[in-house]
Amino acid sequence: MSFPSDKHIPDIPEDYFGKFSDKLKDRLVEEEVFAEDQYPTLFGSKKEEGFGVPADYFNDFMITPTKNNVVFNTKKILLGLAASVLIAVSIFALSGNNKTVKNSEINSDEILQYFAEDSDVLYDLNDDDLEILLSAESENTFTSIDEEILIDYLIEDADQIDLAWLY
Amino acid sequence: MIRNKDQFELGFQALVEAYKEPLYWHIRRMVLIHADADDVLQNVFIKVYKHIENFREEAKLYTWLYRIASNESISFIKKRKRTLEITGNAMVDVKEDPYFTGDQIQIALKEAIEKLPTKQKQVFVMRYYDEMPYKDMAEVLESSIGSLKASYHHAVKKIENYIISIDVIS
Repeated sequence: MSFPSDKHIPDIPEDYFGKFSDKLKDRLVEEEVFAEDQYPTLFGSKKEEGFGVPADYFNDFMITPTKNNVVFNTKKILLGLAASVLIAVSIFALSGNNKTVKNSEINSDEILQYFAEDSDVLYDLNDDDLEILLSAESENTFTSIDEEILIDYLIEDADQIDLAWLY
Repeated sequence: MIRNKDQFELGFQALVEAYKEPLYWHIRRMVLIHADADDVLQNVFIKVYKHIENFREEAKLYTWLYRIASNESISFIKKRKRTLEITGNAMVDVKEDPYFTGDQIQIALKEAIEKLPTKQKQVFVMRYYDEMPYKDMAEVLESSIGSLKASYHHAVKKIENYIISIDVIS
């Protein structure tokens, strides 16, 4: 007894029978080893998660690659900037130099301007923190800054970001 | 497009556009807190940007991205766990996230997932929420399909038992 080849049957996709065993194999691979009704609490409820995101989060999410680095617009950039300022101020403090950061190689006005423009997405440190950070006149310059975050950043993530563009 | 040097930056932007949402949700399900997910998502794209040359074209781009996202999430969770232990907390409290509005069952589910071993957590999130085929999961997690199925079953059992044990349904 012979069966007609599917190539001659107009109502089924071409090579349907030829691909059928592969389809079946794929289906078996995806088959669970258990029946979902064994776990009615988990599979009986909707998969709603209760997670939300800030308004326009995905529209505003942007990573801008440049020739030598990647610029991105949330709190890491702030930490990077703060870390750079911290290093610069520390060098001044260690060398006994009483000049403010404004006289250093970093242009603090520009940095503050940057912060001001991006304050809606940079939320770990506020403007007051930044003013303190940038002011070398205060004895306790860094008391309100989470140094642990900065140190952690410097140790853990220093290789991730090229900060050379700040200088 | 992404491998063409002249079009690299354009390609990278297209890649970010195409994958930012699915990768975000995968990461969010792993790390739970929005601010943490945002951090990890950025790290993922930075890694992608820096290591795109390592992408093997025979692999699917999305499984490669998922692998990076998954690894970044795991290393973030490990780091956060160490910090939480220092401050005396057992686990992250999703209720503290201003962008979480889940009910008691959803909170219980998050707690149950948080208690899973790392591998089971990855597998559960990928299968239950992301509905990723085992074939692709095997590529992402570099694991056999049999072991992934076993991990998923263990995770499902544990989560079901946890939710029943804390009696949030009644």
